Amino acid sequence: MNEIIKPSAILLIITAVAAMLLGVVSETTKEAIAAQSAKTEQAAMEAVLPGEGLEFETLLDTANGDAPDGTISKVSKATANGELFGYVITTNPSGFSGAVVTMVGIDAEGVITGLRVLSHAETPGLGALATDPSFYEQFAGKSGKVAVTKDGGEIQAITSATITSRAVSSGATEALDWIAANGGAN
Amino acid sequence: MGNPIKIIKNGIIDENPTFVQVIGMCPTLAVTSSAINGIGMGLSTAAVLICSNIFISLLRKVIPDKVRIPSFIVVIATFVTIIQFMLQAYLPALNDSLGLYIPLIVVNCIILGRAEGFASKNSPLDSAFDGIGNGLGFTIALAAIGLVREFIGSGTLFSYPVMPEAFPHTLLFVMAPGAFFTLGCMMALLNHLKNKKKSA
Repeated sequence: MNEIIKPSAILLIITAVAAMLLGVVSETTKEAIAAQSAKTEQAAMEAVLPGEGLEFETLLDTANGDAPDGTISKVSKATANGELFGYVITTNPSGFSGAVVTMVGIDAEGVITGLRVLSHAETPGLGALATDPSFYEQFAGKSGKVAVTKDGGEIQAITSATITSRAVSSGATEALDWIAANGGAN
Repeated sequence: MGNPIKIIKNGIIDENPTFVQVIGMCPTLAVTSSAINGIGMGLSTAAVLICSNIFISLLRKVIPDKVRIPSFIVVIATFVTIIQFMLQAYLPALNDSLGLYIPLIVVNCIILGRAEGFASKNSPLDSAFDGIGNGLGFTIALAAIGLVREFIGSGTLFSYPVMPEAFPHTLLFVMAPGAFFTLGCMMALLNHLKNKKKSA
C-alpha cells in the first residue's frame, strides 16, 4: 500500500508547488503582457492610419466575443475633433499556411493609407517577405478593388509567393468592401 | 564533485548535444533559419536546462523512481511556462520569432536526457555546470547552423546585409531541406577533424 501512496503523494506535492509558482508568475506578468500587446497594436494602428490627435472607437472585435464579419476580426473607427477620419480594419485572409493577419488603414474617402502584415506563418524568405516595406507600401493610395498584377491589379506580387500576395490583396479588398457596405466612407 | 571546467567542456565539445549526441533535432532543424533565431532558441533552452537540472538534482533523493518521469516533466514544463511568460512580457520581439517553439522546449529531449542521465545522479552544483555546458553547446551549434543558412539563403548575417545585391539568394537554405544539408555537412566536417586529430 505504502508503495502506491508515497510516490503519488510526492508527485501531488510537486505538481501543487508547480501550479502555485505558475499562478504567481502569471499574475505578476499579466499586466506587462497586456501592455505589450496593446503597445504593438497601437504602434501598428498609427503606422497604417497616420494622423494627429486621433480617437479610436472599436466597432467590432472578435477578442470581445463579437462574431467575425467574413475574415474581419476587428474594426476601429478613427475620429479627429469629432469628425470621421478613417478606419483601421484587421482581416485574416488565408495565405499559403494559415491566416495572414493584415491590418489596413483607410481614410474617410475610402483610400488605403497604409497596410501592415501583423502575423503570419508563411515560408521564410518567400511569403514572409510580406512584412517587407517594398511589398506593403504598394498598398497605400489604392482604393476600390486591390489585386496583384497577375489578376489584373496593380500590386507587384512577391517573387514565388503569389498566394501570399493574393491573400494580402484580398484582405485589403475585404476591408474596402466592408466600408463600402457599411456606408462609412462618402 | 567533478571539475566544473571539465563538465562544461564536456557539454560544449566532447558530448555536444547537437553534433555528438544528436538529440533535440526538432528545434535544431526548425528554428535555425537565421543566426539570431538560433541563438534565441539556444539561450532559452539553456536557461530551462540549467534551472531544471538544479531542481531535479535537489529533488533526486525525494523523487521515487516510479514517478520520476512525470516529476521531471512537471519541473521542466513549469520552467518553460515561466520563461514564456517572461518573454511575452519583456522581450516581445524574440517571443514573436520563437513563438511556437518555446512550448516545444518541454519535449526537447536534451532537457529530459540531461535530467535522466546527469542531474538525477549528480550534485546540484555539478548539474548546474552540466546545464551550462550542454546549453552553451546547443546554443553554439544552433548559432553556427543559423549563420550558414542565413548567409547562403538571404546573404545577411544577423539581419545585416553583407553581400552585394547581385549575390544569389539560395532560398532552399532558409527552408527545411537547407537545415538538413547544413547539419549534415557540419557533422561530417567535425567528424573529419576529430578523426584527423585521433590518427595524428
